[in-house]
Amino acid sequence: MAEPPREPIKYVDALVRLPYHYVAGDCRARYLRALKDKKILGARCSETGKVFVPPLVNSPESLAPADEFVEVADRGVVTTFCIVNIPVIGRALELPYVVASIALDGADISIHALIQECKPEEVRMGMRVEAVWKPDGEREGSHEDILHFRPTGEPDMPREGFINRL
Amino acid sequence: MAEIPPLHQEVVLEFPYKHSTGPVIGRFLAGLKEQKKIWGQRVRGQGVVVPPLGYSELDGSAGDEWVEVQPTGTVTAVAVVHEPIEGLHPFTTPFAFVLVRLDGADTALAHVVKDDVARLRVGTRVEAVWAPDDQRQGTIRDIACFRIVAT
Amino acid sequence: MKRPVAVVGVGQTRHASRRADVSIAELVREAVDRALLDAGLEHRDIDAVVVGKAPDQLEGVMQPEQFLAGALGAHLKPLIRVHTAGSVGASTAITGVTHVASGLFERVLAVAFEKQSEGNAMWALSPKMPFTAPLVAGAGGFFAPYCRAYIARTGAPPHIGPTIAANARANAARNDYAHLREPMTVEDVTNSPVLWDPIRYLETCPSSDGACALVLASEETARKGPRRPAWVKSAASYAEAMWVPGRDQVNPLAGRVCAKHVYERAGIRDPWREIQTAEIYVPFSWFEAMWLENLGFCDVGQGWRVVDRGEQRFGAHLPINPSGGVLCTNPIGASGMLRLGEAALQVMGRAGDHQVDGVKNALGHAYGGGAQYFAMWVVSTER
Repeated sequence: MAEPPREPIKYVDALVRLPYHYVAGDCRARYLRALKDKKILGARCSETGKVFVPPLVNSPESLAPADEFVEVADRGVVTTFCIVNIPVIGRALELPYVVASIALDGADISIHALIQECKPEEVRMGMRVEAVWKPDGEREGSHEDILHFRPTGEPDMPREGFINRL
Repeated sequence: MAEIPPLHQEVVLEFPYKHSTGPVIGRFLAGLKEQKKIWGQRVRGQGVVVPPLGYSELDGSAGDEWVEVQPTGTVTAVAVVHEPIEGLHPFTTPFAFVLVRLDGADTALAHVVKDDVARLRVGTRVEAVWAPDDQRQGTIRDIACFRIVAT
Repeated sequence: MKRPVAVVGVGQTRHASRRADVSIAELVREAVDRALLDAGLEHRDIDAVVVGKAPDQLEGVMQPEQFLAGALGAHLKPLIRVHTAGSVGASTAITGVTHVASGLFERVLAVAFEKQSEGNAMWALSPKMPFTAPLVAGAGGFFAPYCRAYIARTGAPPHIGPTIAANARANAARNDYAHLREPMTVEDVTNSPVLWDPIRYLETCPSSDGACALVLASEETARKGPRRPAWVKSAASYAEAMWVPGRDQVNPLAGRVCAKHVYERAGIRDPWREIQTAEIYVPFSWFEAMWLENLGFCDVGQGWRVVDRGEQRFGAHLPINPSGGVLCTNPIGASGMLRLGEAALQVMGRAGDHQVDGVKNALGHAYGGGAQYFAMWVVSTER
């Protein structure tokens, strides 16, 4: 029969492995190195005064330089969150767990982080939380230096303080 | 501002894939595995295309007449890899990427030559080296490599 | 627009979780062949090709526009690749529109695809990034907090999300091409596992293999075509920056600006009264209520009430996603073009069993990234 076999080979498996070597840039390097000292740095816009965490080199809003580094608090308020019930590849976390948007005190944009040390159903919009850091000597200047956030036990922020923040 | 030392990070991204071959490449691969034959398709304006696509690259029209080509052919391009990278390249010793226009084909097939790469030139005659019967899995590496035809 | 542009051909594949019967090129050609046939044209009639898809790591084929050039019939023609995450299918169509509107091209083929079964979307869309906090929850985990914020702001009752999901499925049952067509009740949805509270499994879009193709043409070509075209009254895309203070992903500014732009250019003052159906990008149920507000179909805070009153159902005042939408069919890169193509089919009067009666104007909408990219068009029966 002058033809290839009727039944095709249906699949070909492939593994793509891509090694990269990245450089952080001055702005991000300063921010990451400060985490080693349990400091969270933001950048203040030279025009509007708004503070970006992590720092940006310029404001996407005013386009002015954000070249003044300021320290923001390692605590803040949960503006919104979700409870995760399915495993995510690469995360060995016990289910369910909570991922929240947290507006740190002194910052004008929120970060995303884990909330632990309380039951997921206890997490609320407006709840006050604080960073739990890796112990001294184990921090290496990366995002993993903050293990997670946990409730502070302070009174919740009133609704108008968070309802239109994300 | 004081000089800030650069901060480096190595990141490896690894993704597994399962490609659907479709009826054209799928049958081409079945030919390698089960028949130890190399099949192309005759396409209007392009002659015999290997590996086949199922359509004309020139005008997008469909083409489906199967033609068997020879496991021998002529090298049309050579790139010797003197220092192979582990995990990326198919061999650990120097080898060559080649384009081979198989006898009976009008396009060139991309493949590798494992041995004797110093003698490879454009125009060198080569032949397919088949993977053993129990190792052919229906991939382009069912042709293990090409080798220079002894003259 | 500099000159009128019309949709003269629409083609899409059968969508499924795995189209193991075709390669990427063959999948794309299935949609292209149908679009050309629909337009009564052949490859040689096409002046330029635009192709779009979501990130290459979804299939692991880098720069697929290169190897697809032949399959797309782009030999010796201009070919460009578009990428704007989940909105890419819509941005690709709009790029085709600007090609024709510029006056440089008469007939443009716009194609969008995704073959998600070849890789793993959750991996591909959440790769390890250097110097950034690790992603912790996948795409659903990224969007679920915004759904929660919407619910908190508006006081929407919990059944709204499941109501939207069940209605999408009822719509998909009328669409032969849709991926998920099995009907489900609000109760079925409510009883399905909560993946990213407040989003449940059956409120989440599937992962599909599929492609869509459109033929966009000048007025002269459109008038000569075999069928009534869909006239593109307006088309626009807007992006917004990720880190703007006060940025509102529940009611994004770029979405509002984009909608205002396309309505104004189409001469539409009141979209609720002047648009008869809309195909909008709803990957998670609650976004339908959120986008009803963002797109100006109702006041802020009222989107869930439109759903609760059933006014967005098939046969009601403003059917949303009569095709079933992204909740039933989601080949990411093609999903945006499917929205725009389905809107065009509605004004052409050729949407088959899911044809809405009396459509004069239809909106096609897509968004992508972290609710960052918006792309829309208004198509009409009249030029």
